[in-house]
Amino acid sequence: MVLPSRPVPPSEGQSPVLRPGRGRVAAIRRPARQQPLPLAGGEPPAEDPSPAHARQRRSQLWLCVRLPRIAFEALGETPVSAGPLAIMAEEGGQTLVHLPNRPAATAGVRPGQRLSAALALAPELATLSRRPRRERILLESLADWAGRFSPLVSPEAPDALLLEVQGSLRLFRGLDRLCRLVSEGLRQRGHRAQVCVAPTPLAALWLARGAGGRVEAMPELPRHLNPLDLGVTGWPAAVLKGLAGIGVTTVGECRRLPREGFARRFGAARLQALDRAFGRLPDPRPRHTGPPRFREQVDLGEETRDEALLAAGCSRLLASLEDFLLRHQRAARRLRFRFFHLRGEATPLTLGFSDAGCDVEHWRGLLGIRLERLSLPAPVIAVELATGRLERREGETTALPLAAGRAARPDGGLPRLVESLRARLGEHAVRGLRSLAEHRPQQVWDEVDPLEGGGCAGLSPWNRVQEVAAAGEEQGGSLLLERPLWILVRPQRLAVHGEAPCHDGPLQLVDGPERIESGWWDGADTARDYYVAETGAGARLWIYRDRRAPAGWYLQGIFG
Amino acid sequence: MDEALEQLLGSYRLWRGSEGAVREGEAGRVAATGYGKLDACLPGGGWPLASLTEALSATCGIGELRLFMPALSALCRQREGWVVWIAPPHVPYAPALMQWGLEVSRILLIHPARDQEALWAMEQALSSATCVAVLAWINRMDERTSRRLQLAAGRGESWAIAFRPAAARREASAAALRLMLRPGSNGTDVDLFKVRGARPALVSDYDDRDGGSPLPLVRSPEESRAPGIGGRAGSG
Repeated sequence: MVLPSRPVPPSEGQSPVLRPGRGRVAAIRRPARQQPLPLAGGEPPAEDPSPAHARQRRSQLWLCVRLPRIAFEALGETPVSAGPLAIMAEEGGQTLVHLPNRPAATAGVRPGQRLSAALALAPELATLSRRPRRERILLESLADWAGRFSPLVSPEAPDALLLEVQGSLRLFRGLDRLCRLVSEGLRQRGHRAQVCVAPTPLAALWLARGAGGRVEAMPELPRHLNPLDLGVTGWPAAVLKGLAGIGVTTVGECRRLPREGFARRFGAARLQALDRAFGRLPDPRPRHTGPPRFREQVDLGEETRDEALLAAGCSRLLASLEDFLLRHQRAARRLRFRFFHLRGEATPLTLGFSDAGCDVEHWRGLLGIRLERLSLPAPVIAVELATGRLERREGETTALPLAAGRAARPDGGLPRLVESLRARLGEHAVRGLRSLAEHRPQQVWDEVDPLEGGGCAGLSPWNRVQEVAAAGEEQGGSLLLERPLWILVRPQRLAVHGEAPCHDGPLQLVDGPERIESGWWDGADTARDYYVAETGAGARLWIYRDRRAPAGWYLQGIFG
Repeated sequence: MDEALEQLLGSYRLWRGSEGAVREGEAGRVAATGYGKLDACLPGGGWPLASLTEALSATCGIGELRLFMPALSALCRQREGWVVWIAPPHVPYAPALMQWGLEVSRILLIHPARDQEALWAMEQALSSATCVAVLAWINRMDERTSRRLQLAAGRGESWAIAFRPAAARREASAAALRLMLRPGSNGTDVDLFKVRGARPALVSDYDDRDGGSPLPLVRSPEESRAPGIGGRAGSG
């Protein structure tokens, strides 16, 4: 066991590695002496990671996605505008420049300048105020999207995402391909991003803020991190100024300072940050869990009534919804769109489905049909999509194609047709039929929702009647109980000439009478004699004579 | 000699007039009408499925719906799917539908506000491939629309029946089968004036009612296939 006599620089005391050219083989090398730190909060320091312990800890690989233009992207403005544009933020009561776009940057506008200074540099500077809440929402939605690459996604405010990708490397067939997929996905969503990889999350973040690069193994980390400027750490300006005052401007120089003194002078949190970046201390990150509901908004940039633009905006929202549902394995039953105008209330548009699904293509079609018929009181400036409560997604099972004959049609198509028809014609225009156990012709049928009701409620007396009639036929007689295919919702009164009723000419009674008396218990008492009559033109009608007051002849139905 | 004839008939250069959208014996392409006289006049022995059939009549109730009922009930038994009624003139009576053998739970009633919506709904229902049959009552339909409906019925393998006023006889239409119902001396006459794959024919008193006797109560397809439906013993 070799104990180094002088303090070994931290960069060389890390791992038990064969050092070529040293002439000394160190089997196990103890790292530099660790002094107990006088911490302000009084928490115990984390355990000293001996090399054996470091080997046992599962190796991690963190991918950091940094969005330097997130302030612009959250507002919906592309950074390349015509003229100089700067986003202003309120800091300490003053309005300072937060992020300039490229023309403004070439004119000399820098983050942190006062508004007056910026205007002096670029007189035609346009300003927008920063929207931190929107940036947070955008970052969270990107964290949802990034869930397809890694199970552990941690957003790092204000503009970065950290993904732990060691377990995903095999699925995505290599780190290069994974980084490429991430970059392309972000580019398609309209974001400019910088992607860096490092074994610790903080190191990845610092690299993304600095020069960039990919570090895959811990021993290479110091080589990449040491030359970084201390500004990447994000420490307060006072600390950075103090460090600059003693001549420390890079991360490597900061590490070479004596630890106890550094912690005492600048705070133990800074030392802990350095330890975490270089892997001496573990750095657990909170896992991002999305909200159980989906609510997203898209700005259309300017007021518009153009259907194509509205459809494109809604399409983006639906794509986001698809990612969300895929990640959370949920299905939605109700979608609520809201179209915002400059003045007045937002116009709502609700799409409801018979069963929870996640078929976004079908929803897009339904939405297109509804959008055509939507009347907007004013031009639309933004669209929002919110879902109702989400349900667990059911897996689909397919049958083995062993059944002979035609393949069975998917059952999902039956409700889908009803939904499509309802989307255009209205809910009330698509109905189903139901038959009840009744003798009175008016009450024996009912219009219902085709997807819920329909069919025969209970054992209708017609089943019994049919049995009796069939039995009667075999014996040579037959029962007159044929019913007309059409029924009038309200019976039509017939004129009477002499004793016979007439409808487009005198009616000839062909069959009858059949007496139906029923309904004394619910107020719709009927006592009628039903006949089958034929008109001169050959049409057959079902008429009745009412035996209660007012007595008369009425037309009830038409034989089809 | 026979071989030469077979070779000639099998050659692609020969077009046979009896070949059309309907082939005999191919299950699922033809539905037996249930009336023997009609079966004899139609190619394949039944209604052409997966296409558009137009039924014209001057008045409602002379038997235009009854004409299709046996075939509809047989189809309902064999296949799954909706039976769609678009813009019916009155409400279909559920007990009567049950008597004819249709399942009431698979009936879909659509009440569009305009003719255009009715045609759109018909095309949607036909091409969705979830319908057994689509019955529509339409006043105005031009030839292009009828061609689209014919194609949609072919794509979705559904049977489209369009009921139209008698004045539409003079218009051109791309339907595979067009017929007109007229009251005749004995019963209702069916005038098949356009039949794809056969000659036009006139069938008088298609259900053999012989003087107005009503039809028997429960009809099964086996009974209906027998030519001529027997009248009732006794009278009312």
